[in-house]
Amino acid sequence: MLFSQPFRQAACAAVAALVLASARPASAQDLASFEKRLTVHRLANGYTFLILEREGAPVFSFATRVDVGSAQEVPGITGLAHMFEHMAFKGTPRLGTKDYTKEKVAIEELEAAYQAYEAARAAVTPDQAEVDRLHKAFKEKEAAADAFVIPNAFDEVLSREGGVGLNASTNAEATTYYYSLPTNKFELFAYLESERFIHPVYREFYKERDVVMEERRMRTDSQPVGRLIERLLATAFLAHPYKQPTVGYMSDLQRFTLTDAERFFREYYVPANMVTAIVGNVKAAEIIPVLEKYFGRLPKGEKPTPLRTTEPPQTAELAITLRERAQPYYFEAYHKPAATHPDEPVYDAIAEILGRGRTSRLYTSLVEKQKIAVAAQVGGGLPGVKYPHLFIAIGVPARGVSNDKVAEALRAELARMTTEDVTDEELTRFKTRAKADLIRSLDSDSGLASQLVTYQTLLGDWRALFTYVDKMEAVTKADIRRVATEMFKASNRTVARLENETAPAQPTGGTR
Amino acid sequence: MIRRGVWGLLALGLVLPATPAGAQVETVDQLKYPALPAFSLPKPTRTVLPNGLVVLVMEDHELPLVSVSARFRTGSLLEAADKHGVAGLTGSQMRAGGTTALAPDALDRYLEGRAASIETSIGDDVGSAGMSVLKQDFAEVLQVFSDVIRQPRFDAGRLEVARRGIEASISRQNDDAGGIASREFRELMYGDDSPFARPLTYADVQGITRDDLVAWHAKYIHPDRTIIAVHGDITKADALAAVTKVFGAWPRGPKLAITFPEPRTASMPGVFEVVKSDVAQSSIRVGHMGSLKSTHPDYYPVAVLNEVLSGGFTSRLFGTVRTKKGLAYSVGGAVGSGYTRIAPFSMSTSTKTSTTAETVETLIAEAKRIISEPPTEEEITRAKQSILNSFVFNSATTEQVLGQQVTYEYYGLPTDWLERYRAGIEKVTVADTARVAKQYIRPDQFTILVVGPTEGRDKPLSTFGTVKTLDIAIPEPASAGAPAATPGPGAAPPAAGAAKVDAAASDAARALIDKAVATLGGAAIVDGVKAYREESSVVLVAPQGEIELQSTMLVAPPDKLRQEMVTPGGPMTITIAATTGAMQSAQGSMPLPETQRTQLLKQVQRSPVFLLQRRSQPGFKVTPAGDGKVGDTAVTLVRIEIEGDAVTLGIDPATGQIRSMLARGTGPSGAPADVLSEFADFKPESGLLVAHSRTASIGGTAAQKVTVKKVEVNPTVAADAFAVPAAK
Repeated sequence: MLFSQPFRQAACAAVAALVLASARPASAQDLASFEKRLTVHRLANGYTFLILEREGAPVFSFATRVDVGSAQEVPGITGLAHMFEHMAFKGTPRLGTKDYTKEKVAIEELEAAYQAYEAARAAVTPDQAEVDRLHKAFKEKEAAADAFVIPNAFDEVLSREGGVGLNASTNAEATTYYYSLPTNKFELFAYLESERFIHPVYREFYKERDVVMEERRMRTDSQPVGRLIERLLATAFLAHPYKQPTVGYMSDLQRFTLTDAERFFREYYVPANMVTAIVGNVKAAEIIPVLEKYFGRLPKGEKPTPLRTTEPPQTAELAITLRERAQPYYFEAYHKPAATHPDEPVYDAIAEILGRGRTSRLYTSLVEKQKIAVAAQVGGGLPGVKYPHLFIAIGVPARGVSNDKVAEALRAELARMTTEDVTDEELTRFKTRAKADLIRSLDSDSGLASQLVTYQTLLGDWRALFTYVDKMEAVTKADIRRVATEMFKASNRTVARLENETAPAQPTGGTR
Repeated sequence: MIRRGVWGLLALGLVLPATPAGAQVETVDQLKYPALPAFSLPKPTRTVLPNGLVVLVMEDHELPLVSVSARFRTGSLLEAADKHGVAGLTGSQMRAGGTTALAPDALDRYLEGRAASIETSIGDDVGSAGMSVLKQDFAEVLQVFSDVIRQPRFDAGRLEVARRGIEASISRQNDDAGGIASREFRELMYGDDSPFARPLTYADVQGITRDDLVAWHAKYIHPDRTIIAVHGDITKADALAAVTKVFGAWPRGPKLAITFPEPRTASMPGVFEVVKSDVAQSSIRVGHMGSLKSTHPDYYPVAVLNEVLSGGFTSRLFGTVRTKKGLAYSVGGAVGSGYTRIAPFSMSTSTKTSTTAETVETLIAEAKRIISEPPTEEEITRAKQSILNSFVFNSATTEQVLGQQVTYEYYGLPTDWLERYRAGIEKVTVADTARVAKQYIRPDQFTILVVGPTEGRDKPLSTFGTVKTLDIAIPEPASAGAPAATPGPGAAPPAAGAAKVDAAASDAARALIDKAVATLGGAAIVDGVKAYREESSVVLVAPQGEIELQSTMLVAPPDKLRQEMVTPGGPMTITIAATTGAMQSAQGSMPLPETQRTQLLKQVQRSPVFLLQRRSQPGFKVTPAGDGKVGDTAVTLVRIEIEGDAVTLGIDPATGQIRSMLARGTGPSGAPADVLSEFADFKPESGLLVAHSRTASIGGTAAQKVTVKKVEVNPTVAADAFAVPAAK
């Protein structure tokens, strides 16, 4: 029930991109060994399963990726993809209720009462007395519906049966559900995971909405960097819904309804839009009938219409400054293409050479030699990778050093990528680490499950997990110069500064 | 390609669902589960080399990788108070500072060019080093790993980079409310002068030299106090041979008895707050110091109790605070216990400001309820099932099994600790959990801490008791403005930027100081005070009870004082003139110890009128320190540094009255402590506004109450008033 913070998302996407490596003798060989052990099974209703057989302890992990995130939201319902993720833990008609027949009626009455209250408070000139009366009526219906609830029953069954790591996450483009179980409980997994998407019950909807508001207050409204990133996205994107925060705007969280959530669910939670990877000590031949039996029950549904809006090219340099009671941070963001673009590995190389490890250019220059920053981070993936998105560079100024000073040094390093070739050592290091990263990423069942569904959904084929490294191997110095020159242009840049509010005012705008 | 080790013939593949294939499953209860096949991984091999080095090896041939980890018996808990930070810096610089053979940047390139990593660190009670490498580079990189451990270079330039990193963290430590709450709660639990919670300051970091790192390393890093563990795609024989080759000739260290300190057993009950108005939530912590170690048999019932109270999404805390009331996104809490030391019971969450009190009440109510309505048979069964049914995940991989054995080896725990744990959990009864709930959760000892805005709360925090506002101002080093000990070549002067920021920021604080001077009586009156006499009644709060005494104090700053007291033990007079001082009582006259003399003079110099008299001196530095509260009055905190001393005043911005002062003084044990003085009952005396009621407290506990009875500003001072009698 986490939603990935934009910042962490960025870091993860950068890591995920870097992780796409292959190994010297490895790439082809690993792929062959994985192809032998991986079964792709598609149900008649369009649901896709990836089953990877591994020996070892009698346990398995799974990840279900639903191809929907906050990019599928429009103003008024921002935060709904994440809200539905929370609702997916509320149980089913047969789990979490004392009497579903009565509860169903109570929830319908509750929603009717909420809609009446909502209509009254949305009136042009709200009648406060009427709004209060309807609010009271709604709270009474809420209490009546709550009386039928057995709270957290879904979690409880899984926890009692030995489930670990039960959680889910929502980001700008995907909603992912995951946990691990001992293999003897495989049928429990198949039953519960299909049930929760066949008949979700919107129990405790409005209380859970309060919880989500607390999540927003905790992650965004109480964090200076959280507030900065929200503004950065809103500034850098003109049209694309990547500009919207995944957690949602507070006003939308206060207003969207159970009916909205139901509508959203029906549109996006269709089998053709879902992929589940199962990794562990399982045999495909034995579990496929179980998957057929349970997940085959999901109604077919239409694959949702793809997002139409594309972000127009940026034509003006943009800059924002947030003054807070906090120490400074310096961000620069540049638009880049989606992860499916052939230049994606070149962007990875740029990020790696600029920002990864103690040998990286930003670390050696800003942190070690000039000692003006204490950390620097670079990478694509903000806030997602499915659509064209942002490549960011972050500098964390040392104590008493201004953002200006960090900006100047950081900008010089970005410019150097466009004016000079990278060294042989840098390029080789990038490729060597890419291969090793791939090997290291194969270690855990749960990590593999989530990588498999990511590649399958984004690139249409899980094999990209292994073949992408060959594309990284092909990156040249000229590619890096070319892509860096395209990207690091003033008109493609958004600067975001977090300044201490007591610091003397500086002219905003990064242009010099 | 067996990933997680040997299980050979038991590998039966998937356990088929036992529910008949055609049967329609309506509810979870209709599912039938087959038994889980037995599974166990071998334990690592253990070898002790002649130099005392313990070597554990675990093979795993699935991926072409080898990793090595080391643990050293050391930790920041062993630091002397004046060398705070040395352990952490030694830990990071063993790797970051290069080796005798490889300069730091060469080491970085060497490792990253091979996609290898070596990292080192020293925590509170253990030091660690880790290496991860592709199989083919193992032998070569192991030699470098050995150099990092045995022959670190401790490069001065890298040390400076590390210092700056820490200083940046210190400067950012008040930017996150949750971070403030965790830090301050830790200080309230363990005591902020204890090595368990002592905050790292700029002065600490600047005080650590390269020599300190060399000395720390030489003292603690030796083979006879080190465990090395090898894991991955290598045979046991090859691993042992390689380790023996590079570490075998490492000589034993000198005999050294290493004893880690114990935390205090009682924390500081009370209600505490930190005012942070730029956030949307209150970060809440509730708890007290505990008394359990995980080696005690009560560990098992406590584990079950914790599962019921806060174990994930099914716990009582989650169910009430999040699901039922929608008060928070994240809520947690547990009876804590360490392997070798006790830990606090604590609960934590964060909620919007308008539900702060409701959430505190809910946490306390749940803590009380788990005692009054202890876990039921059903809850216990569920908690035990959850622990036992997921037990296979505790040792599902070779990495996990090896990691556990390293931990047991380091802390001296039995190698079958996990098996004992399972057996212990299975035996837990309802009576056990009821008993431990009562024993380990003590609501009467709760410390309540809230960090967040004060405006807009549902109820004042004083609902829960007298509220103490904690000062979280970040102390500047004693020589404020002086650059760090040894700035590296080419380094920007660290204080320059900061000083600029401070200068601009202090304008508002300066204005408030001027207002305080005006309120105190105006510049003419304040600056005209040359001597001051005050008769008062003083109540000292000591552990054995309250002691009341009458005091007449005559002061003429900067360095003259005469205090006549009537104490239960008889009259006593203290006289101080510059560098001499004496104490006269029925027992005779004796010289006043220097520490007491300087402390008393400091108190005089810190009193508002004499403090503000120095406001125009060049070294008088004013910095804003946030917001605070005295009783129900919101105050603005202003930190003043002058002549090597530092105090934080709480000034009511509306009236200009100085309502509080926080300064470093002496605690009951004689150890340094932050003393908070609060002022009230203001009355003018010859044009000077004097607080007739003053209280002093340390860490939330009252220490002294002063009621002023009579004041004389610029009294006639007898010629011999400050004459210090010779000792008899």
